[in-house]
Amino acid sequence: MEFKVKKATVVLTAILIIAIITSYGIYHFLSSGYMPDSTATLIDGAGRYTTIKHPVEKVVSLASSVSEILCTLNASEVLCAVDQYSTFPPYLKEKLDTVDDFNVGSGATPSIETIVYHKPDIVFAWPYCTVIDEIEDRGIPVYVLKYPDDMADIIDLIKTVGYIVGREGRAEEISSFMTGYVEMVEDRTKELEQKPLVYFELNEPGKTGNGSTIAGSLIKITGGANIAENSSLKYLTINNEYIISTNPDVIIKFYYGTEPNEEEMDQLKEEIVNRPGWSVINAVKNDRVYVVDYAECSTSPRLIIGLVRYAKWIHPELFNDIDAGELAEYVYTNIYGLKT
Amino acid sequence: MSSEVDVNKLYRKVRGKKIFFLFILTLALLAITIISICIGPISISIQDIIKAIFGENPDENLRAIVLDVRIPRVLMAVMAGTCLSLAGVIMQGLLRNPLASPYVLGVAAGAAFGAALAVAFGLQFIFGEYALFMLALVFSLVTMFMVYGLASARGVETETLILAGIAIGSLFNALVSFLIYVSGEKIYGIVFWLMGGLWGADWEQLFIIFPVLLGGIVITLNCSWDLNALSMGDEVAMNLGINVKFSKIFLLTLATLLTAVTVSLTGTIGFIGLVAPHIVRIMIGSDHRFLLPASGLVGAMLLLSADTLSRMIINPAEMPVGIITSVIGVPFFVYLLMKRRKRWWI
Amino acid sequence: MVDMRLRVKDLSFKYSTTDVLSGVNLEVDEHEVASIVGPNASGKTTLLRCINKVLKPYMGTVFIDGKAIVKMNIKELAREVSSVPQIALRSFPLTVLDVVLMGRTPYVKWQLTKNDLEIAEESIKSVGIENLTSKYFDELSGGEMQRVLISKAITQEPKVLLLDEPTAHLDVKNQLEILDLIRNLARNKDIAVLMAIHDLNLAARFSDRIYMIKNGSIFASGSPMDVLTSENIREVYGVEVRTIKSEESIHILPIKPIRSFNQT
Ligand SMILES: Nc1ncnc2c1ncn2[C@@H]1O[C@H](COP(=O)(O)OP(=O)(O)OP(=O)(O)O)[C@@H](O)[C@H]1O
Ligand SMILES: [Mg+2]
Repeated sequence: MEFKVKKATVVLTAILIIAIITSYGIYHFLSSGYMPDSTATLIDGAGRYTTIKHPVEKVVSLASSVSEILCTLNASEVLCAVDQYSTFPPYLKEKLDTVDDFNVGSGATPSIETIVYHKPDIVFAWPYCTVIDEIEDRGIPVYVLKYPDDMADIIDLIKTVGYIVGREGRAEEISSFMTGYVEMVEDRTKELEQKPLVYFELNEPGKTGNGSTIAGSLIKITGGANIAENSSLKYLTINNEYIISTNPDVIIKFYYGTEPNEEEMDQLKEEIVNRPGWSVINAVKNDRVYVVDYAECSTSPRLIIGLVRYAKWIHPELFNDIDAGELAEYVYTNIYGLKT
Repeated sequence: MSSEVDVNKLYRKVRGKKIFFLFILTLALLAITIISICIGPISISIQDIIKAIFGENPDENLRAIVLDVRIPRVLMAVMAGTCLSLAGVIMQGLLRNPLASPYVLGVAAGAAFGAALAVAFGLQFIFGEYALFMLALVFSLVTMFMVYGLASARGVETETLILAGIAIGSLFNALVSFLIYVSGEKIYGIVFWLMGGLWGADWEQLFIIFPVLLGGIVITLNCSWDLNALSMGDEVAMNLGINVKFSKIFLLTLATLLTAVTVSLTGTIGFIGLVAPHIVRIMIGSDHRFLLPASGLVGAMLLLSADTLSRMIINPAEMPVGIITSVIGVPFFVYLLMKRRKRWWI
Repeated sequence: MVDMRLRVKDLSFKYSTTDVLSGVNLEVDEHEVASIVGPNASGKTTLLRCINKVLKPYMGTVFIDGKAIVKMNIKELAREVSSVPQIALRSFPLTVLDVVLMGRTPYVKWQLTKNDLEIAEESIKSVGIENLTSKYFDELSGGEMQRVLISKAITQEPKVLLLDEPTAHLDVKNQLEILDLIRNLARNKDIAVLMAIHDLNLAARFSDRIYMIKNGSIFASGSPMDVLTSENIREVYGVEVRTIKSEESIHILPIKPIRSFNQT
């Protein structure tokens, strides 16, 4: 029947048209990039699962260490905003000072508005950040960092950040450079019988840390014996009498400044040397009181400079061939890409 | 006219008791002082201590520990405790408020702000290590005069003074928080300073606090009668021939100075100045001629014991002494709250 | 002419904006008890405060034995005039003896002498608080407190004693006893007593002289008989009263307030 044929044609045509439209749609959908390239699920430093786009393209860093690591990975362009203390390398500070929405405030209480505005693929935060849930509620994954206890934690962090932004190669390069130094130092110190006693002091008189702090870990690697090694408290104020009676051979004082200032560092040393009763301490007697820039002992590739300084201070005889200044210059030029 | 009364005899009996009490307190403080010098994280025998102090060829480390560290610290605890307690007695008497502490007028917050300012701008590096002390001292005095200025707009009523103290204190606390916020790691140490401690006690500090304490003791004792009268209210005091306005500002300044110097050297040590006067009040009453010296002694004992404990509990780490004084102070405070409510509570 | 013990001449006072006292004249001689009566807010307390220099009048002078109080420093004045305030403040625990001895403040430097103690003992006996001496002041009853404060005031060895509503919180017996005590003190110790008092019957019975005050000025003064007339009371208090005169005193029976009459 004529009518019947017609009806079948219409149905077939309709099916055809629908098929064409659908397949075009699917094709278009696929080719437009609407489908994610890929995702990755990570376990962050706090043991939480986070699913992120991989590699990420837009990052908000609430941790100056991560900001700094990203720069060494030549990935500074992924940073769309950072916390107010992310002032190194200097071009970050410049951007913080000049670009309004680049600054999200403190890492503890950042501006959620600014973060949301940037629609980042990931936010890096320390556990002390108070608005982690609020950020995640807005569909932005947060990677919570772990407080590093030693060198290995920091190298891991560099690798993880490298993976997240898809710069595994560069991360590998930096971490093997660092590992090289660590192994070299460990090699030279591991057989030592005699470990000089070391006291390191943070920003307050008496404030020090036990073996599971970064400084404690550096002392261990470089063949020193931290006088507070076995304290049950990670950070503690150690008794003054105890310092004098243990009689450390080396004293390392931390300097906290935005930029290292020779004069201020000298004054810190003076203050320690002149403390009442401290003149009997070996480190003071033998002029082995040193001041280290805090930035060279924190969570970043610069830590390697701190490591070498510690090594030379604690075992000068073993590290004659290495010049900390040269290493610093190398790190700043080749890892940070800064002209010195 | 029922019973006979011999005021002379009664007065002498009561005074004798109080003097005996003072005598016992002095002995007790002496004993605690000697014990505190003998015990510490490093155990040193008494012979060694005597040798370290007087001996011909003492071990130089021991000598440094005993002479340069332990003894100054013990003496500092004694003096700081005394200063804070005297200031506490004065504030409570003047403000007629059992809750008044040396810090009611916001003095500690002012000192903290001064110290934070010094740290934030790295003034120790420019003006030497006493920059922090000086700034803390200056700002605690500034606070006191701001509070007094504010309160005098309404005739220096005690309530106004306390409220102005709270207001200005909060202002300075907010400023400290602001400085901590903008200064980052650099100022981290100020948080510790705020808790107070005697870690850095040395002879130089003792030479600063000693004249202040000595002057404080002499002057406050001289003002005992004024304080007695003032604690009955301004009008009563006036009728007893006290120049209320002058006495008030004079004694407030004195208490602030005692507090400010102590806080500037040791940070904020809580509860001593609040609790020591109350302990003494319970035992010998509120006659300032005895209350003042006895509170000074009790405060010294409290702080010294707390500090000695702070050195011993988690050896070689130190507990912030503020935590220990509070641990001693809070239960006592609760006790006061329950026991003496009827009498002192407002 | 022999000066009166206490003389207030043309005294005017105002709190920042409001006039409280205007042109008050008043005299009290030693041995005498004088009372100030008048409605609430008429300025009785203010007047007493001007006399002990807590407040400064902007006009007029107060003389003690002919000497103007503005010429005395506050310590000198404290040896001449002592006062018992209207409300005693809560204080830290002080014993009654401590409070009484406080009366010696204008005389001592630090140590109390035997003489000081004798004066205190004498005053404790005359007020009759021997059995209270070791008690805590803030644990006493209102009547006992009043006695202690009077004893403290007497220990000050004043020439003039000011009392602000000494019978305010007392029962009938205590009211009579305290006022009797006050009158005896005036007689025996050569003190001039000036008190503010609300109870007109008590005022009539225990005063040698009465000053009736209205809106800050003396409305009438003289002996109780002359001052406490129903006309005066009607005029000053706006109350209808009946007065009954007896041998020793005049008795006032309030009847009703006068409706149309209002203060000022
Ligand atoms: N500190 C003050 N500031 C301003 N005005 C005041 C002050 N004290 C009292 N006055 C006012 O002065 C006037 C007289 O007060 P005063 O206390 O002398 O009255 P009083 O006769 O003693 O009254 P009462 O019988 O109620 O005790 C009142 O109008 C009162 O409001
Ligand atoms: Mg009145």
